[in-house]
Amino acid sequence: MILSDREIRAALARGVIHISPTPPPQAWSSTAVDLRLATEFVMWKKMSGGGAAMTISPSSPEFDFPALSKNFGEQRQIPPEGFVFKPQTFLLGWTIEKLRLPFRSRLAARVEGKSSLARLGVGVHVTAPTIHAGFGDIQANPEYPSNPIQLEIWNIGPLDIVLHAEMPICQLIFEWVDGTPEKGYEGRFSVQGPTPT
Amino acid sequence: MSLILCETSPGLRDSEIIATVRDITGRRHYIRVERDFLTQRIGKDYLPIGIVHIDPKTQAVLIEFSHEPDSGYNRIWINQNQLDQPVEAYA
Repeated sequence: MILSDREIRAALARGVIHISPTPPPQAWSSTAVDLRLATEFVMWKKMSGGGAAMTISPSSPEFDFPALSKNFGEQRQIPPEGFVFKPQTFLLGWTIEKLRLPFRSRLAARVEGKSSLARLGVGVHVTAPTIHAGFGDIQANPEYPSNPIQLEIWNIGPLDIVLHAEMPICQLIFEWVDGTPEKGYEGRFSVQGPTPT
Repeated sequence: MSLILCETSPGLRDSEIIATVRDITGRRHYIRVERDFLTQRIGKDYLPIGIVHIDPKTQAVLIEFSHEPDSGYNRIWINQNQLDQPVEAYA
């Protein structure tokens, strides 16, 4: 069940959702909250040119994300005049707002695009919108401001789109979780673990 | 709520860090979090995780990350000695 704006506000008041900073009144709609684009973003550098072709195998046990990040992740900032997002390009962005869903909140969320941007060919995730209970949660520190949401932003349209820092970039939709998650409950279930090596 | 020992390396942006957690087979799982998401104890970094299950036979612990790591596995099996404090096995 999707939470209405009133239910989201009630959940914020009860502390089962934390959003920091608190979204302003214009960020709300009847069933979602808009989040804004942070200044920093990262683009992957092309691997072609010069040497042998490289491939990435994320499911391989040898996959080394820190090395990939160091060698091919280019950290950039959106300038005051905006960043021209070219067609057929991709970047990793973050929301300004940080989100925390406590383990026992029995709430999950989905980050979704905004139709105004979608109509231009801009998407904000690559089929990975789900935010599980426990996101950004440190139970020992209830005041922890938590983590921003990383966005996988792509432009499949033919137009140059200018992205500005602090522009509304995505919306957050909250849903009730039916039942208590095993993680939050820390209960037992019928599985047998592997033998430690 | 528990903490698991992790190694760290620079993230994609300055405020971020990559925490590396090894599963029971030694495979590394990378998860990117804000730097202050980690807890430091005696010079070591610990990542908050949720405990899902403890295998009573092997004492292996099934944990769940706060969000999906780059390996794609939300839940992994780890050895109990990777946690900041032991957890009791279910009888």
